[in-house]
Amino acid sequence: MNFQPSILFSILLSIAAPFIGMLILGFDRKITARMQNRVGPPILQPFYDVVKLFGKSELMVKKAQILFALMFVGTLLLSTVLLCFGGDLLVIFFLISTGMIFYTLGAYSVKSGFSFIGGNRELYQMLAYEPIFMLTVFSVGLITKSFRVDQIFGLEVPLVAIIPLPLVSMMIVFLIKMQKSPFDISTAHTEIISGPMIEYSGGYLALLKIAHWYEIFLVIGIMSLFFVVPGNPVLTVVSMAAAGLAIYFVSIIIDNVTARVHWNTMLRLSAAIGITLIVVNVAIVYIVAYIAGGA
Amino acid sequence: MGIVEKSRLKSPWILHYDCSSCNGCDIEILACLTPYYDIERFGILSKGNPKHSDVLLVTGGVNHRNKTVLKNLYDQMPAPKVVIAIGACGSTGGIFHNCYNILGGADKIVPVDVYVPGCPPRPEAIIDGVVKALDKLKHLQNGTWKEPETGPIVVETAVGAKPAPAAKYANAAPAPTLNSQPTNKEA
Repeated sequence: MNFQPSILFSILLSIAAPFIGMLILGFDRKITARMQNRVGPPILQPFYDVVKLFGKSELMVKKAQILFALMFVGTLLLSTVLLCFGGDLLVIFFLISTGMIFYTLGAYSVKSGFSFIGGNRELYQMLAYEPIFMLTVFSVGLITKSFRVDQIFGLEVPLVAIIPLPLVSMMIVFLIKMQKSPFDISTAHTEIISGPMIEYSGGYLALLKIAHWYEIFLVIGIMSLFFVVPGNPVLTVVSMAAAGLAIYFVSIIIDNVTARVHWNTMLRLSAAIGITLIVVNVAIVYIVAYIAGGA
Repeated sequence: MGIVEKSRLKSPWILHYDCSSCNGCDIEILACLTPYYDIERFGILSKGNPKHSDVLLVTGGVNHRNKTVLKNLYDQMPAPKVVIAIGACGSTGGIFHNCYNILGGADKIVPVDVYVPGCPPRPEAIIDGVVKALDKLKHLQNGTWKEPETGPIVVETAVGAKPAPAAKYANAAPAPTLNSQPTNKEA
C-alpha cells in the first residue's frame, strides 16, 4: 500500500527545508559551545551571518564563480524538492553529486592555491563517501524493490530493522557532508581557511552557506528515511525527527572529541568500514531470505 | 534598524593581521577566543580571510616590508568594514616609533576607526574596541558607504591614560616626527 503525502505538506516541507537546516546548524553551534564550556552564539546566528553577507558590497574574482555558486544551490534545491515529493532516491543522489561537482568547479575556476587544495580535497571526499552513499541507496532499492522514496512508506517494517549497518556507514557520509571533524578535510579552517569557499565573498558566500543548509536537510532526511514507521503517519514524523536529531547529536560529539585526519586515512576508513558493513548487511538479508524460503 | 543592519551588528567576522608585533597583543587577541571570554557569543568569528571579514585587527607598527600587505588586505575586504588598531605599536608605533624601519601606527596606511591602546591591551579592552567599532559601523551604513562623520574612537584603558612628562625631560629637544624620512630608502 502506498503512502501518499499531501501535496500541501510536500510544498511546505520543501520551503521550510533550508530553515530547518539553518536551525539545526544554530543548535549545533550552541551545543558545541556548551560542550566546550562556552556560552555560544544565539540560535539564529547562521541566519544573521547569511543576511549580513547579502548586505556586503560585491567583490568578485571571476564571473564564473557566480554561475557555479548558483548551480550548486540550484541542484541542491531541486534534490530537496524531489525528496519532499517522494521522488527517486537515485536521482536525488546523482543531483547532489552534480551539485558537488559545481562546487569543485567553482573552487578550480579561480587562481588561488588554497582554493585549489580545497577543490582537490573535495574530490577526495567525494571519492570516499560516494560509494557508501550509492551502495546505501542500492541496498534500500533492493529491500523496497524500487528507488522511490514513497515506496519506503509502503514497507511492512522500518528499514532500520532490516538494514541497520548501512546506517552506520552513512554516519561517515554524514560527517564528511557536514564538514565535521575528523573529516573536515576540504574546509579545514585553521589549515586552508575554508578551502573551496576562500575566494567567495558577500552574497555568493551566502549562497554557499544556504547550500550547506540544504545539504544538512538532505542528508538528515535521507538517513531518517530508515526510521519510517509504516502505516502510522504521526509516529513516522516523530521517529524521523527524533532519529535525525539523534544522528546530528552523535556527529557533534564525534566532532568535539576527534582531530582532523589525512585524506588517505579517510579513504581507507570509508572503504574498509563503510563498504564492508553494507555488503555484510545485504549478504545477511539474502542468506536469511534464502533459509526462510528453503524451510 | 533594518534586518541587514541588525545582522551586521550580530555577526562581525574578524581578520587579524600582525604587522610587526612582539606577539603580546596577538596572544591577548587569541585569549578573547577562549572559553573565559568567548567572543563567539557575540557572533564574532576569527576568519583569517579578508574576503570573508568585516573587522580588521592590526597589531604592531607598520614597516616598509608589510605596508603593502596591510593595504592589500584592507582593499580585499568587502565594504562595510572597520579597522581597529590594537596596542601601543598598532596605534602609534609605540616604543619603535622612531626606528628607521617603522612608518608608525596602522593609520599611516589604512583609515583606523578605533584605537585600543595598551602594551598589551587586556582582552576586555579589545572586546570593548570591537563593540565600539560596531557602534561606528551602525553610523557608517545609510544605504551608501560614506566616509564616517565621527573621528576615530580611542578606547579608554588604565594603561592608556596620559602620563605626565618627567621634569628632567621638560627642556629636551623635541623627538623627530613620525613623518621624518627613514634613513634607508625602500627599494
